[in-house]
Amino acid sequence: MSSAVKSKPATAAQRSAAAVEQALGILGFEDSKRLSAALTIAATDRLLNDPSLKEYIRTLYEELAPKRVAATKPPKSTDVELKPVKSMEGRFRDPSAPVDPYFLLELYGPDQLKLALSRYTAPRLREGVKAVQARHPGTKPEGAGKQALIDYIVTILLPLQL
Amino acid sequence: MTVSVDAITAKKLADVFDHPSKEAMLGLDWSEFEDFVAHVFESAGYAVEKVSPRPKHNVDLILHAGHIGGKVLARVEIRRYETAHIIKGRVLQFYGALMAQGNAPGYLITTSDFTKPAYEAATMSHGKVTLINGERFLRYIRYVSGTRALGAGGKAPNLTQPTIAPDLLLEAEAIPRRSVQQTKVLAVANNKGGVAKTTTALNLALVLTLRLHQRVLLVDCDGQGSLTQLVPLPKPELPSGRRRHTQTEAPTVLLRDEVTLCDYYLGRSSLTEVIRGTRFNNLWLIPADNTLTQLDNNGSLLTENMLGFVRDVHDTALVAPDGHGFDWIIFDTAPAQGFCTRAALAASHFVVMPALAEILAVRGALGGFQTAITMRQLSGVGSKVLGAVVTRYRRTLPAEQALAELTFMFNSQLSRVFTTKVPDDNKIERGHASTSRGGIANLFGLTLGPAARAYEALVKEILQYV
Repeated sequence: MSSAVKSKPATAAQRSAAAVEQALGILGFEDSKRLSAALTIAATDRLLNDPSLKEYIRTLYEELAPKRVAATKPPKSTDVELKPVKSMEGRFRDPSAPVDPYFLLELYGPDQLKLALSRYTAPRLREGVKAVQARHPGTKPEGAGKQALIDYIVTILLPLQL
Repeated sequence: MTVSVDAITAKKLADVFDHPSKEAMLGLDWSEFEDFVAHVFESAGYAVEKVSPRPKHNVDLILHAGHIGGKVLARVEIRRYETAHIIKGRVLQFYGALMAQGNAPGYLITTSDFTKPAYEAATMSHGKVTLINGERFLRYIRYVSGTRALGAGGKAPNLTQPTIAPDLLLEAEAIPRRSVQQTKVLAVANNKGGVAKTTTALNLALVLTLRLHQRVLLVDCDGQGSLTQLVPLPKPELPSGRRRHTQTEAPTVLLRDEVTLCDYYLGRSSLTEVIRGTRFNNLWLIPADNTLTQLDNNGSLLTENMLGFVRDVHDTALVAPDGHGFDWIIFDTAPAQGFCTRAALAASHFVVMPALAEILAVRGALGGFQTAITMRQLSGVGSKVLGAVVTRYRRTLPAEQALAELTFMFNSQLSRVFTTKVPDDNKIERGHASTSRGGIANLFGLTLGPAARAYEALVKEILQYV
C-alpha cells in the first residue's frame, strides 16, 4: 500500500541536526555541540582556499531560506456582488425593520438567498427565523449558529419557489 | 357634492395612492376610480367637487381654488379603460362641454391612452383640453404623493402649498435636455447631513478635471456654502499687479459683491453670469452663501423657478467663460430636501448618494432615494440613482449590517452600492483645512491619501454606468 501522505520538506534546524548526527557516526564522537563548533571552524578555515566548498555552502544557504507561502484569502461573502432579479421601484423596506427573508427571496431569487442571508449576523438572522416560524409554526432550526439559521430559512423558503 | 367615502373605500384609495400602478387603478370599480381621481386632486391642493349624477356635460369633477364654490380652476372627465384608446370624438365632446361651461380648461384622464387624432384635436384646443394618459397620470400621482409627503423644506407635510397642476408635467416634459454624451449632469445627494456630500462632489470633480482632463462645473446648491469655501478660487489681482492675497490668506472666501446662485434665483443674474473660475483650468464653480438658505426657507421660490433652473442647466448656451461647454455639471446639495435640492435633482441625469455605513444614514439615503424618484416623475426622465457610495468607512460589525441593509435597499430599486468604499482618512480633512486657508497642495495629488485614491476608483466605477 502506497502512502498518500506527502512529507513536508525538513527545516534548517532539522537538516542541521541530522548532519551533525551523521558526522558523529562517521567520526565516532559523542558531543554533538563540540562537533558542530568544530565543523563550523573547519569549514571556515577551508572556505578561503576552496572555491568549490564556497559554492557548495552558498547553494546550501539558498536552500535553507525560509519558504514563504502566499496567503490566499477566500473572498468574503460581502465581496460577492448580489444581483437583484426583481425591481420593487417605489416600494421601500424600512432598514431598521426586522430581517425579512421573504423580501430577500423576492429580491434575489432562490439562487442568491443563501448569499443574501449570509450578510446578516446570527442575532439578526434570528429575527428572520421568527418571521419564518410565524408562517410555519412548529418548525425550528437545528442549531443556534449562523449557518444553522441560514439553512433553516433556506430549507423552509426554497420549496415555496418550486 | 364634495368627495366623501366610507372608511374601507378611503383605505383602499389611500393604498392605491401610496403604491400607484395601472393594475391597482383598474382594480377599482368606475365609481371608486372617480373617487380616487378626486382624492389625487385633493392631495394636489384643489377643492374638488364631484358632479353627480353624471350629467350630459361629460364632466366628472370640478376643481376649485381654496374651497367648493371658489374660482373654478379646471374641469375633469375620467375614463377608466383597460386597453381601448380614447378617440378624437370624445376629446371634441369634452371640448364642447368645456366651452359651454365657462373659461376654465379641462383634463381628460384615462388609465389607457389616446389615439393620435385625439392628441391632435387636443393640440388644436390651444390649451383648453389637456390629455392625461395612464402613464402620465401615474407620474402625477407619484409626484403629488412624494411632494406632499416631503412638505416644504423636507420638514413636514404641508397642505397649504400651492396647487400642483398636471400641466406641470407637460411643461417639464417639453424642456429639451442635454444629451448625456454631451454633458453629464450629476447630483450628489442624501437627506442625511454629515455623510461627505461636499467632499464627494469636490473629489469627483477633482478626479475628473485633474486626472481625466474633463471640463467640470461644480454647483453649490447648499446655503451653508461649504463647497464654495473649499474650491480654491483664483487669486484676485490688484490693479497695480500686486497680489491681493498672500498664499496663507483666504482667497476662497467670497467677496461681498460677488454673485451667487441666490442672485440667479432672484432673477438678478443669468446662470452663466454666476459661474466663477477656479484655480484649476478646467474647473468652474457656481458659488452659494447663506442667502440661499434664507431664500429656500421663506417659500418664495415656486415651481416655475424650478422648471426655469432645469431649463437653464440644460440650455446649451450655458458655457464656461472661455466659451466652451462642460463635460460634467455636478451639484452639491443640502441635506434638507428643500427647493434648491429638489431643483438640482430635477435637473440631473444621475444621482450619487454618499452614505455612512450606519443605520441612520441608511434611513437618510432612503429619504433621498424617495425624493429622487419624486423628482423623476416631473419629466419622466433623469434623476437616475446610480448608486450609494459608502464614505468614512471602517469595517466593523454594525457597519457591515448597515451596509447589508443599504445594499438590499438600493438593489430593490435596481440600483447598487458601489464596490468602492471611501475609507476614513484624515488627509481629506487636512486637505480641506489647507484649502480653506488658501493652499491647494493638500487638496489632491501631492498627499494622495487612501480616500483620494478611493475617489479615483469611484470615478472609474461611475463611468461604467453613465
